[in-house]
Amino acid sequence: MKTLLAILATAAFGQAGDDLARRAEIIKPKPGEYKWRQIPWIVDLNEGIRLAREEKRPILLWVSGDDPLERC
Amino acid sequence: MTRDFVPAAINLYVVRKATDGSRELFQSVQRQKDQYQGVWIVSPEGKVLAGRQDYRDFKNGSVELLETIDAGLKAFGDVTPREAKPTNPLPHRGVGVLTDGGVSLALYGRQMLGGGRSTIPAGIEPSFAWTWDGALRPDGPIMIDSLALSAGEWAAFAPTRSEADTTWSIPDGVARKLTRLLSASSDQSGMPRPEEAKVAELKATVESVEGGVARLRFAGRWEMMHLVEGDAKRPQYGAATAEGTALYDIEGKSMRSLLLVFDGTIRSGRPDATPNRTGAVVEWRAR
Repeated sequence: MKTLLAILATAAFGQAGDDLARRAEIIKPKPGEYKWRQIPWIVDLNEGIRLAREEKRPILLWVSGDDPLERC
Repeated sequence: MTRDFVPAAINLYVVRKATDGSRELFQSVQRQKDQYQGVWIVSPEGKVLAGRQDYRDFKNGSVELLETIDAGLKAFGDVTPREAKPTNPLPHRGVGVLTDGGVSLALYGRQMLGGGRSTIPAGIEPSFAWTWDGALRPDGPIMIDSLALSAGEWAAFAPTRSEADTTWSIPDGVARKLTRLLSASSDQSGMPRPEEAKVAELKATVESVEGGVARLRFAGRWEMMHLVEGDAKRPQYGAATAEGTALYDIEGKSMRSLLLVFDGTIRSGRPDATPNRTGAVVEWRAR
């Protein structure tokens, strides 16, 4: 399915925009590559600790040297 | 994960500097199971129940991670399943203007194959032409990143005059920030930095104006040499061109959308080493 930007590109630039949008869609992540983004990640650990205490459940703590959701 | 855990995604360098309880908990977690990054399963009181950074077999990594998660949950005990609502922790990534006038561009990249021999750039040895055979297609995992631009940097994408055929250049300092897209690496060690660009050019043209909206076209080229982990014995050589489109609201003096698509090659070790193909996308739209 085309993204909004792809539709805008096509509308704005006709065939050339359509080709650009098509190339972008090939490069961008496919739904299966993006499943981890469906997880309702919390980026404020303090809020995560509060929630875990309130709901009496463990924290799954994913830590990386960058912002994990922005650079992966 | 969503049903049984509170999933938290944290930047190591941010949590180390936190001034609330999160730093204390993280320091405790690292003392209990020393790993630089990765996944820890932690009780609300800060007790480490399981953790994983390295994998015995990377191809089997998801199974090993699931083992870790299961082990952590077993150690914790029973939990009441929950239905967490979907969230968007990065509402500004690729969308809208921040209160300070800056933006966060959404970046994507990966290794590619195909596209047709008519698209082979100059300087590619005939023996590598086969990598352009067939339809354009992915040849590696996706890289996701974001690029923050200040209000001033973002303004450089807007036309100086809203008349067809107006041309301008995006400042060198802004174009250099896109050098990062010459590699599909998501690890900083393999990520070209702005100062490693040998060439960073991005030019724009107002292609047409209609109904108060200017249609912009972008074209650029980049070349870089990156030293992996700063090691002079591990150079990477990259080159790419980019094409782009954008819509600009003349009356509102604001960008409506931006799309840039990169097509490049990267070589490890020597300038004439086998080139790996790269593709990248920059996306942004107004809210």
